[in-house]
Amino acid sequence: MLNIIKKLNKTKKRCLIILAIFLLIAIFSDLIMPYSHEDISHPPLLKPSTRHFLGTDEIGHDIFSLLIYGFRITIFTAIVSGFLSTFIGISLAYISSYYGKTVKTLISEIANLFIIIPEIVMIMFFSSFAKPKLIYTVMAIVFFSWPKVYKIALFKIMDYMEKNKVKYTLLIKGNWYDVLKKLLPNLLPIMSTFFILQCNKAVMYEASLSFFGIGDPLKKTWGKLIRAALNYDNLYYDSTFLWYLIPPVVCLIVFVITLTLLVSENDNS
Amino acid sequence: MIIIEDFNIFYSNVNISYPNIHVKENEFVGIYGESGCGKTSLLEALFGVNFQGSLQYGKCMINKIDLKNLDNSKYDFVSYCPQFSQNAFNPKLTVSDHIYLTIRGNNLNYDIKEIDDLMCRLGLDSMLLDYYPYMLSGGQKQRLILLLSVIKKPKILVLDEPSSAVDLITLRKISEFLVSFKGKLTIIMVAHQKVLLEKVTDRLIKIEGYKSVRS
Amino acid sequence: MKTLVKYLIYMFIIVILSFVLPRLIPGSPLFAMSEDINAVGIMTNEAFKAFQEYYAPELPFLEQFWKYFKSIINLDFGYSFYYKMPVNKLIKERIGWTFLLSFLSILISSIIGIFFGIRSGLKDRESKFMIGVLLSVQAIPTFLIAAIFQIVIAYKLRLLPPTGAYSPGMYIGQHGYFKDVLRHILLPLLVLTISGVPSIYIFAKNSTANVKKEQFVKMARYLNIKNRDIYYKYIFKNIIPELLGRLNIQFVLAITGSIFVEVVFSYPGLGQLLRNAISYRDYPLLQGILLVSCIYGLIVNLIFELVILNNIKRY
Repeated sequence: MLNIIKKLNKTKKRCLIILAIFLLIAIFSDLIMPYSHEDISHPPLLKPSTRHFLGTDEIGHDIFSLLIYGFRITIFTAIVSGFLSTFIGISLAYISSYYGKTVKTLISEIANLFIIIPEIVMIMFFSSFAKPKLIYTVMAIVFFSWPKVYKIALFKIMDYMEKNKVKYTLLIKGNWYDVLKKLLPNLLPIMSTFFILQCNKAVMYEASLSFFGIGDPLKKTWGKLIRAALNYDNLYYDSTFLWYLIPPVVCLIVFVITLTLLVSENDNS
Repeated sequence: MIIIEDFNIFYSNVNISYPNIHVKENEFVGIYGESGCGKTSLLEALFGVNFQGSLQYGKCMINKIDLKNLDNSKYDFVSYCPQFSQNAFNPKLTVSDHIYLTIRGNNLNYDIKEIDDLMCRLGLDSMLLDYYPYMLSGGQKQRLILLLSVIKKPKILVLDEPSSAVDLITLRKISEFLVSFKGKLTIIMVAHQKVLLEKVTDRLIKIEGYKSVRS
Repeated sequence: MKTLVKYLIYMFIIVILSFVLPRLIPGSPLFAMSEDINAVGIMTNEAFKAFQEYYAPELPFLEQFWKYFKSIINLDFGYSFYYKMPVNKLIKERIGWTFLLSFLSILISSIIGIFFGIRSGLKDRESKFMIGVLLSVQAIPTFLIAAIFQIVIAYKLRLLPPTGAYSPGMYIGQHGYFKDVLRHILLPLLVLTISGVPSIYIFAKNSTANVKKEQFVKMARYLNIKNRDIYYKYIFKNIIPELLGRLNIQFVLAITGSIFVEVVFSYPGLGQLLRNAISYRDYPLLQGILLVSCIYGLIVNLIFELVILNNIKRY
């Protein structure tokens, strides 16, 4: 893996460093937060000070603690959703290509349908029906984002299976485990690319859902924080937005951009 | 018309030095040699676009202009037919579209009689004019590329292996066609079959053993 | 035609899904039927009555479905709890604004993206910085861009109106109406266009660069074909199939993007409707919007599939 990291260009290396920092903050958020994110005992709407780096919101939370907690919960949601949708997408692609014919047509048609219809609307529809818990948000996101992974993974797997190595294994009646073993080294790079892409998507979906007020109100992701900031009436008329809205927006944007740049492919001229 | 002296091409791992070549105006010269000896590289360097290697020469003049002073305007008087003309056609345009665009690009007149005459001499039916490239055979494509190259009235016609992908009958038609232009324009033809070249050209140049691999 | 049948089947599957899934999701009022007082308690008595009538959870499953299916065929999406109006009437009123906004943004972002993308693809050099910037812009969720622009341009700089599609009191035919609508649509349109241009630009650029490498483009040079002809007949004509595919996606993305932008700018389109439907758990409205968006997605896809098929047929 170190070899792969060495081959990345400068921008990507910087993105990796930023993401690593984010991850560390997420893991050690308990230690970094000055107060509990649920603590509402502070006086509301304080400006930033040494006691409250980003001031407090209208209910009495310390915004800085909310932000740090947001690292953990947003990144966690992204990783879980990203991993699950990638895993499901690739597994189904493998199953389709191994069993072929009816199985493949069936799953492919379902995937096609999901790709045609606007995912975000579907996700919102189903999330709003369910109880507002994080797990259901994750499920909704995963349920509608695996098709994109599936389609591309299927293409790559079918393409690779055409080549001799795997065909031979199939010919000598290897079972699915043997074929998988042969396939795995080739799949690993695209799996990681997909994983990052899907994490990216999951964050954006989650933020969009939060924007509409869907999701677990107890698990305050950056999306929820932004939503809360936008809900605050005086946001536009004084300078509250500087420490209420801007910090989570910046964190979200940086996170999303680093993920995007990490997997972008730039051809050299 | 074309003069090269002390001409060398360098790629990252290979050097190729060429013999001195003087091609007189309206001469029909054939260049032959084994596969991979550097014939195509020479043509690409002189007449191609986006040449990838680096050049070093004592003298190199095409139509009395030094090579480094030539840009894409050289195609005003040069027609270059690279190898593998199979992919030389725009899949979205008909044959007559190609002809029309070529004529327009060179500011010439669209003369239907001239086109018919050329088609006839190349053994091509006029209904091919409405065909799309996917409907054409390899031999037809090769001949049509020749037609397009000639209809723009070049001073220099350069052909890289026009014979490689065609059958004997088409080959004959192409040879006869080229011979009919002898003396009217400068023609350079590259092939690796000496026999074909001997029949049509005024003289032959051999490229051999000039390639060396750098360590 | 085969394709039409396929799409009809898709539509049918969606109707089934929209019927079955809400009843399967734990926490949905339909899941626990009328026994789960907690779930039902969100609604008022009136709403509950309307709910009972539309969904009829006491009827056996198949009969429920048949009732539902019949309503859908007649484009009857039920009665909105919150707005106290038939859902299809609500949607009909708002959908015009959404289409206006999204189609205008597709038009503008496509023209800009394709024009500059092709120009960039024809060059031999590549500005990595530019691409990085575009990718970053593309990555930012649309509603964030909308919120930022709203704060900076509308509230802080007061250059354009921050909300609405027209000033209160204006109506069609009144003098100055179009100008007013234009002023109000400018900011949402700007945001949507900024969101949409990067992907089209990058796509056009890459397609152009790929076609440029093809042998027949080189040959066009050798034949001394005019540059203009090369741009239009060689390069542009050959990237059209890919572009169409991309546009297909853009059409659907534009609607979803438009929904977010509408919420931020309080633009009276489907976005607001959706937001309120979610806040007030207005299930019939939610379902109506969902079905309408799915129908839209299917129709757009159908059109593009037929157009692309026609385009590819000849070659």
